[in-house]
Amino acid sequence: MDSTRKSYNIKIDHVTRVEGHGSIRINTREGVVEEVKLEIVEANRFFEAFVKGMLPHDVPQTVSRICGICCVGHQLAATKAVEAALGIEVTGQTKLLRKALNESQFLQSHALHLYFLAVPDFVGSRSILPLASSHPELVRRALKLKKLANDYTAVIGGRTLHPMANGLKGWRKLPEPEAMAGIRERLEASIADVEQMVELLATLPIPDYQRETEYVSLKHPDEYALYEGEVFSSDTQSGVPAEGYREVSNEFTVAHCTTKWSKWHRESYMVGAMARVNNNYAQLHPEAQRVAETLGLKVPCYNPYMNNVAQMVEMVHCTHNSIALLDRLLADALVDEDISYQPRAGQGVGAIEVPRGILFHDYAFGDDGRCTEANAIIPTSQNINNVEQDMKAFVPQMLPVMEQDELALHMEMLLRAYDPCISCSVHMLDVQFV
Amino acid sequence: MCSLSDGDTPLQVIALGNRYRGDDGIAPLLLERLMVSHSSEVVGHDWGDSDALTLAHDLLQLEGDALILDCAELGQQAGSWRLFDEAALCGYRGHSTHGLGLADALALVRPLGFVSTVHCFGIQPADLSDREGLSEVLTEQLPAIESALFTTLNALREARGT
Repeated sequence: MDSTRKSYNIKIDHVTRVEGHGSIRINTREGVVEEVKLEIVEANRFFEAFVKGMLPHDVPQTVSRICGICCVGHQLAATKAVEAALGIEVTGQTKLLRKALNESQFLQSHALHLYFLAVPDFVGSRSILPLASSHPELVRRALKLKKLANDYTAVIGGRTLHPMANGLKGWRKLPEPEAMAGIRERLEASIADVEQMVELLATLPIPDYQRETEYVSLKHPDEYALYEGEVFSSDTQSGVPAEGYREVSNEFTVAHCTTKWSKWHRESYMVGAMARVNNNYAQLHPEAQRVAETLGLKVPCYNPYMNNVAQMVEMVHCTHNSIALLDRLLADALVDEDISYQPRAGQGVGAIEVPRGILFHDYAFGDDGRCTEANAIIPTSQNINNVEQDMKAFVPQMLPVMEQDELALHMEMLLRAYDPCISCSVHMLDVQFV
Repeated sequence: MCSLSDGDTPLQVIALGNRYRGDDGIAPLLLERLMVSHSSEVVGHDWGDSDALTLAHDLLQLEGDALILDCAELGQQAGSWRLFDEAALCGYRGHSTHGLGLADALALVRPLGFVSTVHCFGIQPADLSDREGLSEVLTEQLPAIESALFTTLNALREARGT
């Protein structure tokens, strides 16, 4: 059809294979794009309100319940923030354990997203269920990798969901060396499975659309930053401390979203795997860099659909890096540490990379040691603005060459490529209880 | 004492449930008691409150036919039970990855070569709130539920032709 005659009315309520509820609205009239909106309709969450009054050690365990997929990330970001507020320093052992815990979540989340949520689009399937018949080996490997990642979290953190072992100042119950050795062995064995997944991903047609944006992630001088670092911008090529997060996110509300939007040096920015790979490519494990090359991921990459590929690259990185972390944890006997602390007044920020991007938590405590203020800036809420800007840029390019169904699918695939966690992203700070 | 295996491959009895959510702990408790009385004849697996993808992975590792124990919304009085075969378990709705459950896990593994026969022994709960221990109703009904389970196991063994 001549694009000047294309009048599309696309209404997707709600997009499937993402966490949470989001809708896409696209209206075109005779080839002119009139409306492009990504509506987030998830109900507001009230975590930042009801943690007020809690004691410091209760806050991380409570806010991990913001999400079942991202529970480790919220717990770790909150733990760091509370420790900063109370002036608590942790040992090298605790840092190593937390890095391992964090990377277990990356493996779990990226495996879930890539193989159960994103890949079906690329092989003409609407879900993973038909893939069990058409691509049985893919599904078997995906199940195996996810199980390994779940077990990894359970061994280090005490359980798969809302792990309990990590606490303020250190570990409540240390992982067993035999269990860690078992995970290490399985990670080593998984390299071949991951390689097969890379080979499959290399055959999948990734839509080729580019829009340069600002890429924001942690950056650390000594490692591919996932646990700590400065908040780095691709625009300025410099970083700011995590305490400056409000000047990074500059949150604002829009009428059609229950999640807030963010912007920094441009109208929007992107966080997540693509941002991390763009900003920190040189620090990826060599095998991850090799996989990036195999999959055609060259930095800087401005194609948001390639976020899926960046996640694959990070899976390879985290597999190899986890083996190295476990080797370090196994080299010396873990030591039970004094995790007692004294509540006091203070305020602190924790920033961490979670699978979907950079996460900030901020808590203040009063003289009685109880929480007085709380704030969480979620990666998905930082991304939603950028997703809509991508949609606005790409729809006019796609309209001349796509019929309605194909265009709608590409918009769904775009949102999925960001791997949004919409339930995490909807928050409310000021709540009046009546 | 009845023999519940087919002589070659013991029946795999799988408990699904969270012991910290009231009556959701009925299946792990039943399995514990089964393993005291029939440990030489069945192989027990406590899979807790595994998500469906973990369930799918673990089903693929099983050898032998399976009986899944779980609490289930039967629309009946608390403490009631029902044996489902797979057709009854999976046939009530279409499959979906939105809120994957046991039926979806089975739908996922069948094309992957999972050939075991699966039944599910479902028990109607009274209370699934966050607490340890069964409700009063299920505690009272426990001996009857256990007896029904043993009867079911015998029936399955007979159906397997042993």
